[in-house]
Amino acid sequence: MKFARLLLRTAILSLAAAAFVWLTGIFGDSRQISAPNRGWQAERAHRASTPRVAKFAEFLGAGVIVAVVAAIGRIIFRLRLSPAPRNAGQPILLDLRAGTSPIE
Amino acid sequence: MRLKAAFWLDVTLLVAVCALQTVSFTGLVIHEWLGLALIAMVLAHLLLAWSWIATQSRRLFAVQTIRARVNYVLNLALFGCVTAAIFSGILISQQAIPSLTGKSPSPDMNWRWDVLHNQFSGALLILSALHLAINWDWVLAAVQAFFRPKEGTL
Repeated sequence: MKFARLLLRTAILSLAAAAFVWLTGIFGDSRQISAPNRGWQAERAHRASTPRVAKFAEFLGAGVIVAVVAAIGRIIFRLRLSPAPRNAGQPILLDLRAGTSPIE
Repeated sequence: MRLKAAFWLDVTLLVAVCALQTVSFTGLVIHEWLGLALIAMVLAHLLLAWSWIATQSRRLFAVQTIRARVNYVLNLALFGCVTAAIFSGILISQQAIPSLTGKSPSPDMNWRWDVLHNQFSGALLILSALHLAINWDWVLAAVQAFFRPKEGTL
């Protein structure tokens, strides 16, 4: 039963992925893309097959990009999407009842 | 146990997405196989989050908070982007797909899909970061649950 449920969910996700693949195909075929410059072509065509530890900084760079965008996103989501505090829109109690002073 | 599995899977996914951006570091062979492994990782990630997906999909047209709507759209865009990046990667594969199919790789690079693959990958990195940002509270709670010593153990 549990396996059947897992299979069904996998099938639903595969169907959704297939829909996105179809959309990507349409998008890719409809885009007018000119061939990149020769330098870029040469660089892409001759990429190393094996890992190069000397390029570890590039991996760190990708991590830094994720961290910076996540931090910016966190600030934006906090400012724009967080529900208003409970006291927002409520009158501020200044304790101005007759005969009493707020400052004693 | 489930939370632990979800947390470490997410950490692995994030590291994999960063590694996939740097072909010069990983090399083309690891890049392509890691890209294919991403299919299984994303599938597992989505299956572990199935209850959220099912609930939010059912409530899609109901009254919801802006945060829930933004989160849903962001996740959908991320799923679309990862699918597009993997699909375009398969189309331009020089190592993994030829060795799986037994065919020799195409001598001419498909520049259209190469350029698109580059664009989808860039968008994937940005969307992953935003996905992390919107789920930051969950990440913090998970980290606290794992690494904070339990009361009474000290």
